[in-house]
Amino acid sequence: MIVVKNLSKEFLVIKKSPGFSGALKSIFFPDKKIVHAIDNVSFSINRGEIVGYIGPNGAGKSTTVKILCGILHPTSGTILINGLDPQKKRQEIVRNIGTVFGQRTQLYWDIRLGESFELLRRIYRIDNETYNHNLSVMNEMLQINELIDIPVRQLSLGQRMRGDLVAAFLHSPKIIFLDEPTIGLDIQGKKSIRKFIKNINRLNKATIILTTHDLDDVEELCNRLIIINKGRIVEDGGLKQIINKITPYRLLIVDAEKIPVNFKTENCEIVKSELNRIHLKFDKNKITASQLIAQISLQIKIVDLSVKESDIEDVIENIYGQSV
Amino acid sequence: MFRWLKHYISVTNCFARLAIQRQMEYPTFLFGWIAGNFLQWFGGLWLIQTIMSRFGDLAGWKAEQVIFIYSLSVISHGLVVIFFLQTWVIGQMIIVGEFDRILLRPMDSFFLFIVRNINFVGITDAIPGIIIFFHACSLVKFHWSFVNIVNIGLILIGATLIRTALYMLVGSISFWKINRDALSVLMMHFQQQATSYPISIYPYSLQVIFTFLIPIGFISFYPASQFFGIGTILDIPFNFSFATLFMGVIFFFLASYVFTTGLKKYESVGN
Repeated sequence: MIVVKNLSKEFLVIKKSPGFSGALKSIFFPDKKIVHAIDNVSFSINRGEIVGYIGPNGAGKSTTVKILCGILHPTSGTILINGLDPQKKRQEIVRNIGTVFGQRTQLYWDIRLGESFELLRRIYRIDNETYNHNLSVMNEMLQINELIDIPVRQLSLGQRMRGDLVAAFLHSPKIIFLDEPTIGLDIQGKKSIRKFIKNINRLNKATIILTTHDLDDVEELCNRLIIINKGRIVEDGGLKQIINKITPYRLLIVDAEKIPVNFKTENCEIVKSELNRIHLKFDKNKITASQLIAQISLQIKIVDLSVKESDIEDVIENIYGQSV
Repeated sequence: MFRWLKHYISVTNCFARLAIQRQMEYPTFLFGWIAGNFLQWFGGLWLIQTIMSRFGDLAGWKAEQVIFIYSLSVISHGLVVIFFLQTWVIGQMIIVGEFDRILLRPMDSFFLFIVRNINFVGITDAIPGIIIFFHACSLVKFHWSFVNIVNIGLILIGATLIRTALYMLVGSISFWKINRDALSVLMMHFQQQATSYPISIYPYSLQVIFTFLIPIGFISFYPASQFFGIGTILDIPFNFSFATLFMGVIFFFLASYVFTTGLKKYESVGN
């Protein structure tokens, strides 16, 4: 159970002017500026949820994650993880936290994968029974045994990610932060990792907080989304609910024999118009697809048509677009 | 308490084993360091002998006595390189986010910082130091009594702690003002230069600084002066090996305090 209330984090950054003179200037007259990396953020996450924490680069995602892990201290606000304050009880909190930072590995590069696990076994004081059990469970899902004797530097990116996931779950953490766990992987790799995340969430009742730019990850895994932009929470809710709220549109693509130049119709917006194809965007709360089709067929002769639902991608585009 | 100790020892052992295994993966790396360090330290020995044969003695110190000082300096340097090399690269560790990983572990962060890297290759510094030490001992007719052997042991521990503390103090500046460990490199050269010769060659004011403020005098100079009965500005009645150990422990605690304060600052500010 994670409860975050009115969390804010400010950073002091020094603005650099371009060029050599700029570098010189920033040494003697630093242009200091306060940046609100996180601005009054509140949310709570229940045990066993898989939450997608998404937002554009620099939105404040990793800052939030670092604060939740106790690595960074907030400027203001309160956090309780299972009733404990991560800043005061860091060691107790991190015992039950697992992390995967997709861009950075926690495995020892030069030696066989198994040695990294052995170190973690000792750091987290995992007893043999739990250790062997966890390893065999994860071996079934990720086939980790075939990698265990290979030096990490010789693993492919996908294999290394499997290793990193096992490393994060070895001590049966109750809360897991996954920061872009599928970055740079091929389709097969992404699929197996998503399957693993789903299974482990079901098996361990682990709470998973996933930050990613891969919207397929989000669509497949998360039943809840927290969207953050410029340090503020923009949306918090179920995937479908958010799509309905932000982009309640459908796209109707109509192929016709000939589309008149001055074609016009009500209750929808013409997104694109070609010689014999037209893209219409309509609000599904105002008009149904069949009503719209009936309306159009009065003017043109329809050959073929398809309806496209808006998805998370449209939502993201819509939200990020506002920040540009 | 016992469980706690067992846990920390088991993690230390594992880190040590992994560190050694990691470096064994690259034998050429090891050979490179052997060649380089042997050349450097025996070159230093040759330099001292050449200079001393010209000048006869240095501030009242004979050639073999200076070599003795030099050998203590090289061995303690080697011990730092083996056990505490990470104290040289605190700035770098901050830049790459290494402390985030340390803070994610349910153990004391200072402990993890200290044990996470045992640089086995450092023996390529320590071994030339030991060879030069035995060479110096035979030159000065060192008396191998039990007490003297214990004294040497205490001196080396104290000297290693003093050196490490100074690296940590300088490196911890990175927590407040991010830098690329330039000061650590400076510190390394300074320690190497200033502990290879008697500090009595410097002006009085510098000798005071090297005794109390930056106590590198205790690394090699003061202990050697006691063995040879040569007078210094600091004539304390008790054994200098205890003085070195004492200074080492005091400065190490001071430095670890500054380090942990810096790490707290890192937690509150980020990088």
